[in-house]
Amino acid sequence: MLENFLGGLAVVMQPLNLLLLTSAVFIGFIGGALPGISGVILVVILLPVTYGMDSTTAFMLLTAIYGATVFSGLITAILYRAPGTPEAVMTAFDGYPMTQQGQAGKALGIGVLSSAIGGLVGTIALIIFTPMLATMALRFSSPEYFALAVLGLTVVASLGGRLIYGLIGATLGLFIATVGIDPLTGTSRYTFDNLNLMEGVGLIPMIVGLFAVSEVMKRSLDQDSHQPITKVKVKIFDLPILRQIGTTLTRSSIIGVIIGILPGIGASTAAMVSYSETVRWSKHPEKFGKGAPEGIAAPESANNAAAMGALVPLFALGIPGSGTTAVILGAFIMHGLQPGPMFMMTHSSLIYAVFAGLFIVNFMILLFSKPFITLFTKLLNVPYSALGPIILMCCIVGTYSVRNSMFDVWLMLGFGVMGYLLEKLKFPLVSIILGLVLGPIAESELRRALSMSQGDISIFFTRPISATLLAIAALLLAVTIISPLIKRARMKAATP
Amino acid sequence: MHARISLFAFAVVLLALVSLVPTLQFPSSAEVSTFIGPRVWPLTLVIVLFGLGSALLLITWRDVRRGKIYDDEPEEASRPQNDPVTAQRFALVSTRHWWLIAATVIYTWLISIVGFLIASIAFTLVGTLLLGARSWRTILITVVVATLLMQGVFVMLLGIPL
Repeated sequence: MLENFLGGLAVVMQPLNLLLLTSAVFIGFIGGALPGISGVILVVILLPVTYGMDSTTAFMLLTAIYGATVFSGLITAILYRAPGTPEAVMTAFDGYPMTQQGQAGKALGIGVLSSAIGGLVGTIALIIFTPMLATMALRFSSPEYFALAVLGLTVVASLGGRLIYGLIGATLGLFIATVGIDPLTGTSRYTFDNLNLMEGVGLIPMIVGLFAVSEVMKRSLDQDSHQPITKVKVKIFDLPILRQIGTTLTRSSIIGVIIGILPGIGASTAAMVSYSETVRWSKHPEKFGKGAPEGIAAPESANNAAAMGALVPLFALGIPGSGTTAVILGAFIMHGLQPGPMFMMTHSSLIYAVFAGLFIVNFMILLFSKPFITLFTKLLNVPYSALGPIILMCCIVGTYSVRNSMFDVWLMLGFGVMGYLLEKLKFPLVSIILGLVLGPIAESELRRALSMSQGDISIFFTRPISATLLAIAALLLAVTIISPLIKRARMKAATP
Repeated sequence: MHARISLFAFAVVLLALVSLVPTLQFPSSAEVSTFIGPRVWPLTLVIVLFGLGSALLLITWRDVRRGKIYDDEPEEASRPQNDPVTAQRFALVSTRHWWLIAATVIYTWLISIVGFLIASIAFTLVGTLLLGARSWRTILITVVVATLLMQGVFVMLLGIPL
């Protein structure tokens, strides 16, 4: 294995390949930072460009872009509460409050370091455990996937604020996820004969609308109260912070890798589940959502680890682990290659070159993110009267570019107004996103599981992995709900 | 704040009731080949939404009767009615965000008529003025940056067909 990896490293270090890798990282930075331009779009756009390239170079380029976009989504998430990619939506939750507190540099530094560490952990796991993890993933069936979705949904209890808001938000998100064609029967649901709704409500219009557009509306009202930030010092290696977030990084990277290798789950879910677990494990859960460093470290390390993990089923089984890896699978087929169990043996040099490329990309993130972010942070000093319209324009173009659909743009604007109004109630917008992301998995796997058991719900409790996940979800939900009640009762008893 | 929450809860209940009609029209489990039909999950969610919306409505009305004030109530709730800020509620400064959204809606509509580039230039011009820019240099620079962003980054670099 080490020999193969060193061979791959030698391929990456060839001047042309290194230059292409560096270009890919910068393209990924730009694309990931712009709301609406995600890894999927960039990989799709550059796919035809790679057709004439050598296969090894082509896949190094595509996977490097993929890795870089997952990282750079945090930049606009932290600075403008406009997540550049869906994976960065949880990062905005604590990152933006830190910017509001004048700690944008600190937030970005935490994000960069967490991304790089998560990515490195994911890449190492990819290299070492691809054969073993692929076998474990085969043991996950519908009951386990449903149980995982339930575990992810229980985060609403930990989001802070009123529990009923979180429950309404998650249910609303789950409900919106039902719009479109039912994947199991082909039935149109809530489409009202509108072709645009056949594919369902897109994640990008919702995220960009709820977070970015609503934020522009809010900032346009109180822009005069914002002091221009004269200098943002991005500090990546800060020992006290590293000590504070060390445990979070370890836990979240592992969660990210595990979730990443499960096909169809994706880095967004990994970010949400790891954030949820971090809140639960924290001694100060009330600090989350208000600028907690762990609130940035958890989703960023998880989403980068998951992004790497999503390549495991792709290489080992030929099954994409996420949307972007599905496009990369298309690239393999375009080049006349078929990933799968035999692929590791017949094309090991290509695979290890990709692994080595991804390994280098994580160091490039550490190296190049600071100058790139410095350029972006200068934008903080630009008057909001200039920045606001440009952000809106980017949101519209970015949302349009996902499906070349103006309908998505109208949806985005609708969600933007809805997000602005909901925020007046201190409503946790992220609960809606949670429901939308996990809804399709939860419904389809629930239905498949019940089909397997002919309607017997004990299938969820008799399978060990599923039962364990559901038990953890129930326990954690109970603890989150009961702890404040016990605390309140104790305080009442203590006061004379 | 109580009025806003009640309105929101009522909207959730209304959404659930309105959604019930098309939901009941989906094929049931007996009408499809899969074990669980396409109606079950959305129907469950509609019922849960109705329940949660009703619960929120009841909780809010109970809190109103008890005179409970939420810790996170925004400042304007405690502001007196004759406060000059309250009096300026409908001034441009206080409604700027709605004018911006209106401009964005017009921009989106214009895109299909004149194309992305011209619509974006017009929107950037109007948007900067709406958000209070008065320096023509700032406005001009913003328009130029928007144009470069549109053509340079989105069209040429990323190859997005606009």
